Amino acid sequence: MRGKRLRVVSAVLVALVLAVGLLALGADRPAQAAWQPSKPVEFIIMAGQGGGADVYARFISGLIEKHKLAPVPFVPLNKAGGAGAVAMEHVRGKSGDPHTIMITLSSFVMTPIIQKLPFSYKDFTPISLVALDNFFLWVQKDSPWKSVKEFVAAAQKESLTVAGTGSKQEDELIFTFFEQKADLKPFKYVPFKGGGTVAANLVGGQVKATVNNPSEGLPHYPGKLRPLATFATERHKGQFADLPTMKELGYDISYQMMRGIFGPPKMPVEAREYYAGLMKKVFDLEDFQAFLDKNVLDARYLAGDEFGRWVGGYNDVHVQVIQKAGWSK
Amino acid sequence: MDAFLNLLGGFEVAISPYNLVIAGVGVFLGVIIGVLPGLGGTSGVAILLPLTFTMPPTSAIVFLSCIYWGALFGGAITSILFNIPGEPWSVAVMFDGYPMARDGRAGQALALAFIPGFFAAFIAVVLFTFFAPPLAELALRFGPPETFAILLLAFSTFTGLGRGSPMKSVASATLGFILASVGLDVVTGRPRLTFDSIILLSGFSFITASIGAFGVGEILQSAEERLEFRGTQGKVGLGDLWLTIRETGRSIGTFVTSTVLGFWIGVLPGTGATPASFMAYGLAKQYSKHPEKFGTGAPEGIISTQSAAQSAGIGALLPMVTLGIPGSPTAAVILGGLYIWGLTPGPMLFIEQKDFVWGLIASMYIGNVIGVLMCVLLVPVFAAILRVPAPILTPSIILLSSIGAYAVNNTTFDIWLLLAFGVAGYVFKKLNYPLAPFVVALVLGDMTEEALRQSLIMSSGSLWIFFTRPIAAVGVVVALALFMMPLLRPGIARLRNGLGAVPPAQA
Repeated sequence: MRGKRLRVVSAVLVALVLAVGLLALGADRPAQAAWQPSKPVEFIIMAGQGGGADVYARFISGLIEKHKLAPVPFVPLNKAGGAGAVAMEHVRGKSGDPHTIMITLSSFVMTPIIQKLPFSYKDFTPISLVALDNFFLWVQKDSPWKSVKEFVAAAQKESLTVAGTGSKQEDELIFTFFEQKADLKPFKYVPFKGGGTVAANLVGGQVKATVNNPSEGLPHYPGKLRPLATFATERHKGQFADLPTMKELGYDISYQMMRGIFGPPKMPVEAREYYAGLMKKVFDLEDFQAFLDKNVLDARYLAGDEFGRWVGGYNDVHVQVIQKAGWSK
Repeated sequence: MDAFLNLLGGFEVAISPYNLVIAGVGVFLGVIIGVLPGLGGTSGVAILLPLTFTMPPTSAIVFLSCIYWGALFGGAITSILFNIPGEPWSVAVMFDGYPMARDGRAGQALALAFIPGFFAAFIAVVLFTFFAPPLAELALRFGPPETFAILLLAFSTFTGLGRGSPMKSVASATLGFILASVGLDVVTGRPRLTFDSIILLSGFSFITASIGAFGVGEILQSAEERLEFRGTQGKVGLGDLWLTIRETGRSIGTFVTSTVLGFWIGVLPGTGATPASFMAYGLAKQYSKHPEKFGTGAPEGIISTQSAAQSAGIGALLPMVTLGIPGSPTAAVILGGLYIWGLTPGPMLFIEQKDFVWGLIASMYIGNVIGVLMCVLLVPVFAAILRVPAPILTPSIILLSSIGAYAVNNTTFDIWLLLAFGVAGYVFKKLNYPLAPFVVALVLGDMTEEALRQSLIMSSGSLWIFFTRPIAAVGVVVALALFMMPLLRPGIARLRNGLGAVPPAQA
């Protein structure tokens, strides 16, 4: 009797173990397969419709759709206002959410410092860098300045009127850099709302120079505008291979703008890895590379902690210039 | 002649069955987007942009621009029927469109928006076809001082014409200016009147304010009076169409001025259809024989604003195609599309991508014809909405308006703002404060301040910049003269009354 009972008990036990094992296996399978978003992903744009960041976000979400790279749609959502502060505040409030990502520009590091916001870039989860946008020093085609040297000579004699996008943002930052390094008379900096308008004011002769992104200046090149130099660290390939860098001309100024993807604070690791992988797939697409080439952006992919460290360095550069210029007072 | 041949080539592209269907779908979606308050042409185009990645570029631009044309038509519908602007550029259409609809002439009011709007768009497309490159060149000569002069002119056309107390108009405008200044200042990068609130850094959206003050305010008022809309007869017959054409003929001066003005404001970078429609309204009122009828359902009030808005919409694409500079926010999104489709906007587009450019231009003709037909045929349907019982209609409108307010910045904060502006609008009406100066100041105040301060940076602070540049000087002088008019008028009248008859006080 006893032996029989034992047999029953052990049979039940074995069955239980098997069942648990099976369950565990069953549960294990989805855990081993990579995490995937289960509902539409909110793709926050920290600028208004029609700007550079907006174009990139819509392009990326369109590519994800076109090449069926994700099981759910990515929905671009503009949170303009406050030079990115409103978007950052929104994403910060989504702590731990695996279904929100944000495309950023330089204001991501600058705005929290200048506006003294109660958070900083460190609060967000770095996912990946997808590109670095460049800046050229542009003048009118019929301007007397054919080189940076001639431009500097003129700018040392008088305060030149220049234009850029927004106030205390990357364009003004570059001009301030330039002023400091080349010992120029302070520029009369006229801020406009968008890069296209900035370029138009240079073409129309309202101002003497801009530091437009290539994509903003190219519509007028070579007909109306001339680039004198690039603020990139190295020379570009392709049609602007002859364009000198500021650095090789003896002015130690280099600046590129981050086009990066961030998640909310405390984003789960598996979600973070999923998006980093997804962005790599987007990055490797021919369409994407052609787009970068055409608009003279540097293709640069970084992810994870490597990207996190990079952003730290990027932030430090901004902190220094902002302090030196007294913008955070 | 070249343009003519190219245009024919463009028609060949645009009239292919695929592109025609695309255009029809685009216009239809556009009208719907236009009707929904808050969901503007700009967001509509942005949302549908990814759909175009799988299309050839020409079909893609036809699709997006047709959404824009549809939205330009559709925006007027809710403005006229419910006093709720479907689009920023249809706020000014409400000023006279809604009173006329309330009078039981909804059909006529809609026809007065659509038919002249169509002809305005048509004239604008013709201007676009034959003069695009030289007009773009001319637009580039307009820097901040010239923009300031134009905006100052816009304000001046609104002075001295308000009904009721001028002090109340001033108070209303001042409130608009104050709200316009809230947010991050573009010139200094500093926050203003935000009281350390992050949400206020975006400032007050003019579209939330006008949906609230006009639409919700109106609903509160009609709830107090009695629960129904008065514009129940909304049929548009051939008679209405004939009446509309006759009415447009009678105000041909207003129509032509508004169309040309609208087109030019549209071409200038960074302005767009919204200021154009306000300026056209001010101008029409200034030169009308019956300025006192404005605001009570004057046909010219509808004709001028809608014509200006629609021709400005076309004009806004001109600098985008020729120079790569968007003339309006919607054009900015379409421009983003151009980059994505692998095209570089600018003068080279006319040479390298002939099919694209001329296909786009041809589709402007086709899109607007589809738009006007669709709208006129749908007028009875729209007007029938007015027959829905108020207890159902009113909450639906509030719901739609709330969604619209949310869509402006994708924040629930805007819904609270909407309600606050609704209550403010109601109080304004009760106390007989005019709302128009408030919204005009809110929408144009920001741009005007920006242009003024940009000019002053250029001149190192000297006001002479407005008088040493010829185009700016003419504008500023005329504007100043118009501002002085109400003060000078009694003096002029006295002088006319005979210098002898009434001896001047000092003599």
